[in-house]
Amino acid sequence: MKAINILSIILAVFLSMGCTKKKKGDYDLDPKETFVVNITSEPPSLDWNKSTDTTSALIQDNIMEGLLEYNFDDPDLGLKGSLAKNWSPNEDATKWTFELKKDVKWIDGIEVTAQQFADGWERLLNPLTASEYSYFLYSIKNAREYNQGKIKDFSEVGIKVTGPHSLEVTLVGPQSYFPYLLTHHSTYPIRKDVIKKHGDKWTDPENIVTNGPFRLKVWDHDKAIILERNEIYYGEKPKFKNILAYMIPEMSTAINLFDKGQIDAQLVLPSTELPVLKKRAEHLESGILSLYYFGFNVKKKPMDNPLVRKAISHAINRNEVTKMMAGGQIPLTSWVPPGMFGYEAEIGTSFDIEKANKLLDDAGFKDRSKLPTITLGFNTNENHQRIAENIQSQLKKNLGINVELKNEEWKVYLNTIKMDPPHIFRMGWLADYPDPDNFLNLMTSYSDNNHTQWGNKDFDELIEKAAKELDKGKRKEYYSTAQKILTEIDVPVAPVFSSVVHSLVSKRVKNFPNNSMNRYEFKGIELK
Amino acid sequence: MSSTITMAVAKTESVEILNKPSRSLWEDAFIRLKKNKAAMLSSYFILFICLVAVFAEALSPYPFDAQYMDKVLQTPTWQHWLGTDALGRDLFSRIIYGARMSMAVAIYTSLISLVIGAVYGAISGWMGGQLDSFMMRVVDILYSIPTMVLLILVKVIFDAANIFEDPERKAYFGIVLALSLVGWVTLARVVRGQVLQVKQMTYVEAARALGANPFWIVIRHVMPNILGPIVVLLTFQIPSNILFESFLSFIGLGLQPPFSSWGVLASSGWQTMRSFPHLIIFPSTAIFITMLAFNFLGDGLRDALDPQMKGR
Repeated sequence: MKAINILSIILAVFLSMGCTKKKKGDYDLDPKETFVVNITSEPPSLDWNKSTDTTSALIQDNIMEGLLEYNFDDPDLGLKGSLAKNWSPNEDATKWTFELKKDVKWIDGIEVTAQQFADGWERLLNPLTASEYSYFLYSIKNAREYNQGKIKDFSEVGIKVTGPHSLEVTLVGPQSYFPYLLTHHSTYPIRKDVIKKHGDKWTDPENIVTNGPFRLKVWDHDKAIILERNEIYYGEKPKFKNILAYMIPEMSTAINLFDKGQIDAQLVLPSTELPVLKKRAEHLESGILSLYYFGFNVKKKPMDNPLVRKAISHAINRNEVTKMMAGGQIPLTSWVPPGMFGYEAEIGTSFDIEKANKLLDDAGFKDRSKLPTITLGFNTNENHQRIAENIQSQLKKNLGINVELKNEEWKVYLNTIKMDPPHIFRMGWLADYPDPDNFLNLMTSYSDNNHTQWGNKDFDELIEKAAKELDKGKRKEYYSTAQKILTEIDVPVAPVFSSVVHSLVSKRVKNFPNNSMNRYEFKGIELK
Repeated sequence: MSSTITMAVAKTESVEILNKPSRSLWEDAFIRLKKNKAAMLSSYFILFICLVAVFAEALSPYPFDAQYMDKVLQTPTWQHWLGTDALGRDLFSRIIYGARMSMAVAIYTSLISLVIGAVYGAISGWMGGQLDSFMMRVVDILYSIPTMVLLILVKVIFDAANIFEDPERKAYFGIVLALSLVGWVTLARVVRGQVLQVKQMTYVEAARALGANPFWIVIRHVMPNILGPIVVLLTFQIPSNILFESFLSFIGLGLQPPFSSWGVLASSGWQTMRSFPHLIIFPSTAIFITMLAFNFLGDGLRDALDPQMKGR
């Protein structure tokens, strides 16, 4: 009798535990009103002044709006006003004025004003914020000086609030692509009062204040994020209530869930399964302005020797990589990707084993055993792993050097390449705006997204000169020279290919955003 | 007359007894083992796998790390008997090389943990008293740390130390060291228990009374008598080491590419299971059969070395 009693107690305890503990991934959302997407990993930060990665951007772009947005219906990728009603430059494109829409409210009911934009840009440029995107605004007068601490007074920077809904920006020189910058999350307005009140915790769901079509409702770390429709959104409200964004790193698990109808969109597909998945009706493909590259840590021996870096770049057969990936990727030796102004296919290091070996011999490593084991880092992902293993084998076969692979989880990896990058590290760059400046600016000595530790004064100068140049022919020439410095002479980077995005999107989803900028704004989606 | 006859009978009897060959415990065990068909078959299979592992270069049709980009992800063909993987490498050759890595890890690990565990356990059990309690508490502490945490810690430290230059050795020795530093604990406990038991035996007492050196007693009298359970334990540890190695590789702390063991092959095959099932079926079959063989052999050895245990 006693034994039975104890047993029933144990049973009761287990049962009650089963009741109180929610099943993983169960958030009690109405499936008809919920769009489920897999964002693969935890967004490193939802602070839009600070984040640099696409996962964070995806969430931010759905909960926030900035001055302008892309008009994806326009084949030339023009812009349309988001929070800006209208905007115009002066004659020589050095001064831009923006007029904001009125009666746009944050989710706490406070109106969006021009001052909040100025606050956001001040925070982006403030050296204390240490944002990796601060160089984005360097074209604004005195912005760089402010960011580098040479000017302490923000009123000297060319950003002026001329009224509650109007903003005036003075640039260092003319810049044709300046408005494009204002579509980017780093230039979204901020609520200084909210940030001040909550400190680092201001991006938590209970604190964050946003103005976009959705609001952050739940952030279950490393599991899921739930966005809910913003009922006081000024524009056309989304036709469904929730976005459930899972963070499932294993693509095979995600695809299984997709097949079961538990995920509506899987945004990356394992390259190994593409041949099969491509045939499915749910498959979507989109060429994007992007670049997959390997960076060298030029401060780490033997990568401090440009000959070694050049040798490695020459020894990589890009065609082999794209052939293996079989996803329509375009092999790339230049820095600017195809589909963008300034793209020149012949720039860069051609695949040449003989030359590569000679370069390595000249670098003083005729005896390959003198070379230390080279570490190649990448973030944990099946596709990156596959490419890394292929590069490892190519370098062994073509140059006779031993490469060790090291993978880390995305958040950790970002930190590693910031603090102490390995000899070779994988990185990608996705256009923030469709201008070569976005790609080349990345490698300037003052860009915080340049993790190679490399810097070249001539290169920096060329990029600055090109940014101000309005003559297309001259501009192209500058970029051509800059790309040669980058990929043929100094070679702190080895571009590999330009990507194509493959995704699976359920048939019940209409109007899924599929564009060359890889921007996922889900407000226009309709669910069946 | 009658007396001489009886004497003759007695004589023949005694001759018979003397003629019957004397058999040691090990010979007895071997005879018993031979009768166990499953165990014998398993031991032949294990021997076969070991030979494959040693002569991997000669047996595999392609180098294990050669990538053929025009033959990526092929299902089995006449050229590639078990198909190719995501990097166009021949799966059959990789399984053969995988046998080398898997077996090397499993066997080296077991041997190293055996040496450490046996010495530690024997000292602890033989000396007894305070030293014994102290040594066993150390074991308890190590035992209480979750195996995974300890494994990861040892592996990370070893990798930082960078002892081997040869990439192949470097690839698996970190794991061997990590696994054996974790694995010896179980062995030490078993050995100590056995030593404690044997210590009470009269033959040990006799040896002591004759004034034999304690070191000599342990080597000559104790060890041979406790070898049975240790051998059995070892045959069970080998498959568990193969599994642990696959697990470590799975979480990225194991073998580094391009080297691969069966575990690595299975874990990378798992990613493409939906579209290319051959990449997981073949390596996991290899793991499955080998584990089964080791378990049968272990069972057989236990029955053979300790007949009283049979059927329990």
